[in-house]
Amino acid sequence: MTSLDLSTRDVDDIIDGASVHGRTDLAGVVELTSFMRASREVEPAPPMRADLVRLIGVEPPPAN
Amino acid sequence: MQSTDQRTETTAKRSGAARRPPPSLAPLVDDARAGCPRAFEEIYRLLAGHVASYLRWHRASDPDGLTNDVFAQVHRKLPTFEGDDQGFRSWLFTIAHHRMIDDRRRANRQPPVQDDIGVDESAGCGDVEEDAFAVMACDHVRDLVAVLSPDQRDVVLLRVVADLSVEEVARLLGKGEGAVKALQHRALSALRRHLDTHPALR
Repeated sequence: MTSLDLSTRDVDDIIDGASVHGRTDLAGVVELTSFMRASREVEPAPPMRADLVRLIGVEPPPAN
Repeated sequence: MQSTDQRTETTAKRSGAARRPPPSLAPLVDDARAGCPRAFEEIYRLLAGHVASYLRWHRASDPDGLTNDVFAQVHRKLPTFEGDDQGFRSWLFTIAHHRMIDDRRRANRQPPVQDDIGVDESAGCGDVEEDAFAVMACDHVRDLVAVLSPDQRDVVLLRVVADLSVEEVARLLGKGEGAVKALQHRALSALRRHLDTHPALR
């Protein structure tokens, strides 16, 4: 297997953002996918637009 | 300066992603389908950020506005949904993906405008220095994803950001599972090669 080859298990690990045992050459890609996973968790829910608030029928937050 | 490792760790710590299991959606979906606004609002609170993130990695023109559109469609179609937690997530991202494609087509029909690649104000939520690093890191990753072909990008973002299985991605994209596996394999190899030839990006 050349250093560019990826096994099915390697691909699954990288997609999961998990280190691939014995493959330090893949650390950069793993770093990327783990960052992508983590970054989605810190993306805040966008404010609900007025039309969506009306559609779902929740009370709008009180104005300060 | 923080390394990308440190930034990633910081991002994960701030999100609490590694510690908390996701709450079950099924009761919320049941209540929302029964017309409970608060249940739908809670679903929005739990998943709208993930959808916005998915749309942002795709460089959608207005990720926040599109996320609102996606959830409006989800609300209208909710009575027809059947499935479990993962089924709901897959259904949600199917709607988001189709909205993103519509948005891309609409953008292609319009005259080009200056791409806004400035500071992404939504990326941070706390410490100014950490947020600055988060913004830099997000732009860095987005640049890397842009080296992929559209098919490869779709597969990687659906697998990693939307957290869908190969089977779900195949169904969503109308491809065979073998084709999705081949695309993700080629995408990761391409990213690895790109990082090898552009060490400054790491």
